[in-house]
Amino acid sequence: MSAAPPLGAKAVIKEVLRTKSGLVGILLIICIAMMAVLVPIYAPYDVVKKWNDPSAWLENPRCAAPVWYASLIGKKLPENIVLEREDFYRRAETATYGKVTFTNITLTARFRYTYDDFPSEIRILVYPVLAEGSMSVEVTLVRPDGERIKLFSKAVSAGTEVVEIDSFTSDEVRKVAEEYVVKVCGGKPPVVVPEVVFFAKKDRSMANPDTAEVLKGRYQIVVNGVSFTANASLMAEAIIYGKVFGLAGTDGNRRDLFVGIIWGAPVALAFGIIAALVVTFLQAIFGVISGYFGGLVDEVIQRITEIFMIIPILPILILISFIYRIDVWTLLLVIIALSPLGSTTKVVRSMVPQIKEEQYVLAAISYGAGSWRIILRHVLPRVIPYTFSLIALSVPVYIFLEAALAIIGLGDPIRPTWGKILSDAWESGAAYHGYWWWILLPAGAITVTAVAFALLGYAFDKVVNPRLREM
Amino acid sequence: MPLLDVRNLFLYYRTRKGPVRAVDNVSFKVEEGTTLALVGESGCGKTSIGISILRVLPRNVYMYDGEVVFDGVNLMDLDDETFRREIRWRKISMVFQGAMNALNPVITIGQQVIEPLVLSGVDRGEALALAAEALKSVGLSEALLKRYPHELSGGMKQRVVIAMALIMRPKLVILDEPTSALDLITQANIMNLLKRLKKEHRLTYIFITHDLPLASELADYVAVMYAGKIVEIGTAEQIFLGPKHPYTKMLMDAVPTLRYDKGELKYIPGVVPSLIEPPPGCRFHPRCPFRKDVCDKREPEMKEIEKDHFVACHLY
Repeated sequence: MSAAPPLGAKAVIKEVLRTKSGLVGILLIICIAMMAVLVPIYAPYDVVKKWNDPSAWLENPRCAAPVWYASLIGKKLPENIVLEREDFYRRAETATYGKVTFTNITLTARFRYTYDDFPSEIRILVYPVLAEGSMSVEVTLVRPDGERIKLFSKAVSAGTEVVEIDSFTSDEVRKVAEEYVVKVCGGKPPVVVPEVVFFAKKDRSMANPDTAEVLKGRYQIVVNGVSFTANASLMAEAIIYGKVFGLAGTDGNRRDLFVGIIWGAPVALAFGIIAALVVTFLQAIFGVISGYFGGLVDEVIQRITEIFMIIPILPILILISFIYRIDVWTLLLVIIALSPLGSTTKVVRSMVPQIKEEQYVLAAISYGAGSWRIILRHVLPRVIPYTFSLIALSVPVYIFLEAALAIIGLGDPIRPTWGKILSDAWESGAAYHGYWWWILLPAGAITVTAVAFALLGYAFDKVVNPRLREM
Repeated sequence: MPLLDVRNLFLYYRTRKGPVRAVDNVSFKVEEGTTLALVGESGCGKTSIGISILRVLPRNVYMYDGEVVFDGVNLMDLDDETFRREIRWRKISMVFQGAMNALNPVITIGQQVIEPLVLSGVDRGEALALAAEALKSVGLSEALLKRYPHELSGGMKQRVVIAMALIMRPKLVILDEPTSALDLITQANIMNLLKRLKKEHRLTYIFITHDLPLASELADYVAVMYAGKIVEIGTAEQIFLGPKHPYTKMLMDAVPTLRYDKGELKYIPGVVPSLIEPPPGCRFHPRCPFRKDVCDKREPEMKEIEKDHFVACHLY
């Protein structure tokens, strides 16, 4: 059956929603757009500013997988265990021997560790409060099997705000772990991973992170401070970093990728849609002008269009991005500036001569409508339904373009776009380390968006292209 | 003084084979309040006269010349902008051939009917009120204002187009085959409507048609065209009751009648000549049964053989 293609924009949209691919496309686009709504709920802060501030993300584990990954592989992967100041049980003794006042403070925090995998990092922060003199600080990890591992033992002088004991960065902690392994196994292992050693069952397997088994049970962190200064005090915090975090995991800078992905959705949509709309409409309008006025105008527009069509946009964009380090919105302007004329101009120009000969255009001329009024009122509305599919199909092109530039390191320098996240993953060797969520989730977001618009584009094409309707 | 006085009008189109002489030195007058029917076979230049009066010319015009004096002003002296602002639709409007296509399918009737008003600066709301009135005057309900053209029948569309032509209250309306795509009943309705409007608004019509009986319904004067020229012009009675030009006579004989059997219908042998290289002398001579020697040598001039009755033929 062949039916005449619907003429108005409203009718076209109604028809498109009736096709399966159009409906799926629209639903997917709505889902992606909904992510924009999530941003103020999930991340009610200045995302761009926080994204670029490493100190804002200290409480998150580094390179953690999404939480749902644990149930996917059927293993209980560790989540963050955060021990606040209040979680430490405090015991202080003060004794005076003649002129000397002696203060002994012990902070104890207990936590259960029942996960199937080792934590990714241990960080203990000790805040000594001293007016003068010094304090001897000792940090001990007490394991469920009764072993006490002294992680830190040093005198801290007044004025020290915080003592950081981090299994990832501290060489001393590494040395403690090494000594412990040597004590248990008798030989020096090739690799020492402190957080594995501290949480492993005490046998020979603990020397190798691949064979070590998790010792489950109740652990204690004991912070002890001894000072001869009056009014000395001590506080502590600890984080046992897990291996899963949030819905989308974290990246190498502990940033919550879910924030990046939901924040990237409106940016990608806005970028793609604005670029596609503006470029297609500009091209369509020039096509209409070219076809309507004809003659010299037509000739000039068509020749300039051909020049624009052979301009290699990607190399030029790479060059511009490389020299000026432009942000995503400037990139949008550059893209628009580079394609005001193009294939749509050609397509539309081929449709206009037919519309121009319609009786109602002649009637409009005869009742005194000017050329521009006729173009806007009679010619453009007939052309616009045909540009819908072109718009929908070119949205992914621009999203990919932005991502491509970002991946080669020429994207927006500060905004967490999907391409930028991928670029960070690439730079950190995420694929090599197996941080799949860091690559697949933003890449998946790009792909789903592209597919959604492609489906919509094909639906439009089917509705407005009479030849496809016959099939 | 006639409302419209067309003198020596030429309209040639450029084609690859050479200029097409669609309107070739045509002169006629239309008095205010009367109807001139332009009749002739297809392709004889009737519509070309219409569009050259309203100056809605196609791109391939080769020559456009002559005088079109309307209300004492030679329209050919006006520049395009002035012509567009002051003449089109305010003074002269046109109902185009084929009402089916004369309305934009994606715009509502209301929006289309008010277009000429909006263009002349009338406020949209006021324009809609006028449009409702205009629709009523052509016998349509104002509920149609919100409808799209495809929801209307052919006759309704034609009424809308007529309402649109009359909305600026022009003096002269050029009707280009206003009923050609309609069935007989609808045709009759439209003709009655045109007659009524003519009487009510004291309109002047140029009625372009190939249908002689239809022309007789409305016309006060009839101009018969052949191959880009007017061959005979006169009052309706003169032309229909006493045609003088052989072409007019043969055209009349070719019209079938209901009342009595004419026997085998007569036809004019031969075909309409090419307008690129028309025959020399009288353009009708190759098909004319009364051909004389002079016919292919000298072009006949318009002769007034009785009051208001002009014929271009060497027989007179």
